[in-house]
Amino acid sequence: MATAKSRGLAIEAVLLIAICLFCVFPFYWMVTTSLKSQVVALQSPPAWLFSPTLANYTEVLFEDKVGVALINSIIVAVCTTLLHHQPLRQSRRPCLPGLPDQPRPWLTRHAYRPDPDVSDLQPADRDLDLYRSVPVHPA
Amino acid sequence: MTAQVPRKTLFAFLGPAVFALLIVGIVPLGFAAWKSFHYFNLTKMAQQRFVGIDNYAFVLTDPVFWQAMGRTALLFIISVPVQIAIGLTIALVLHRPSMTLFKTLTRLALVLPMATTYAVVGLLAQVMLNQKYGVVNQILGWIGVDPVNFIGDPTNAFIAVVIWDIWQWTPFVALILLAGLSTVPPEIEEAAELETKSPWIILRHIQLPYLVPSLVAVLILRTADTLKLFDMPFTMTRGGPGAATEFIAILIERVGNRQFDIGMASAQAMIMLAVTILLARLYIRFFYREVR
Repeated sequence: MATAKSRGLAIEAVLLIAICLFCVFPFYWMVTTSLKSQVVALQSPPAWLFSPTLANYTEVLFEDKVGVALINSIIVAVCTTLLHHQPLRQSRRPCLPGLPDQPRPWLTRHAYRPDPDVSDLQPADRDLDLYRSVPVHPA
Repeated sequence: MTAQVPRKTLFAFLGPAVFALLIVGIVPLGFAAWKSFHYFNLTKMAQQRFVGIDNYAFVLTDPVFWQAMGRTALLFIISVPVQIAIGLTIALVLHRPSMTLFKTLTRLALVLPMATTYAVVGLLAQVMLNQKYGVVNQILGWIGVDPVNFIGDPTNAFIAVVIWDIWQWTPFVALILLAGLSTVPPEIEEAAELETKSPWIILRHIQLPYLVPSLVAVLILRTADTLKLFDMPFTMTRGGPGAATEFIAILIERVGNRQFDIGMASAQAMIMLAVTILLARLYIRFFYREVR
């Protein structure tokens, strides 16, 4: 009984490691490539061990014009976040055009079915959150 | 519940949002619709003229357009079931109550692929899948496979895009399904575990019914994302080699921005919009009702 259980745990651990590798490896490769010089990055066969350099980062941040683009992104991100702020429980992702704008059922346990009180409001009304300063569903 | 709100207040609050939506959404759409009835080529601006439905007639009989549509559909048909299958496996593994810390870490790892920008993912594919210096071919070499020309061969390029799409969006499916699994009442699950030993029966009769809303959400979001998939194959292959990875959004971009035929591209975009709306209505019709 104990061996069967530990074998199950071992399988589970292997699966978890596989999932982690599957997700993280391309990301790891991107990060390490960013620390390679051009010659090392295009080396064949690919180098796993190398002496890292921050030259790419200094070039991007201080010599190229990427800083401007970064600031543009920050301006857009901050503005949209401020203008679009909603309480977390009601956050939802816009779906296809024409879809009824529902609370995401997989995030909210309480607001599972559409609330009759608010379902007839236009989405824009609900986005402004005029009517929901008090939670409709007590948790 | 709602008290009477004065009309003025309503307009004052809604006005800016509606106005912004009008400027950035509706007006360009109307402009595109209007231009789709014109011969409008950026290299021959003087010859701009109204041609009625000629653009639409050409697009609808254009095999290139339908091939791009077919390619997009093929990508969807292959990648989404795989994503759901792998995603469900991952969700089931993560749902089991053991090794909590490790599972939290795995959940964090799952966020990485979908947090990466499409364009970056495409460039990353170019680096990793390169025949000469790509790490994927190196790893394949370790298990005795000859280097594969992923980007240069039409069939392989399509497969590479499919695999890359699966890599990027399987974690997303997994996380949604995991959230769906947590809506299964634990007492029902425990009772089922006393009744049967087979995890398959638990999955089929206890967990799957609770997963239907999540699956519908996955289906809708993946359909939308696949239809407008652009950045990743664009930075990875530019729709090539030949037209092997020219999906519908890339075709529209090519006609509009690289052949400068804005009228034709607008007509294609309008048809794609019609297809999207049609699919959305179908989904609502057949799935949303059941979910409610």
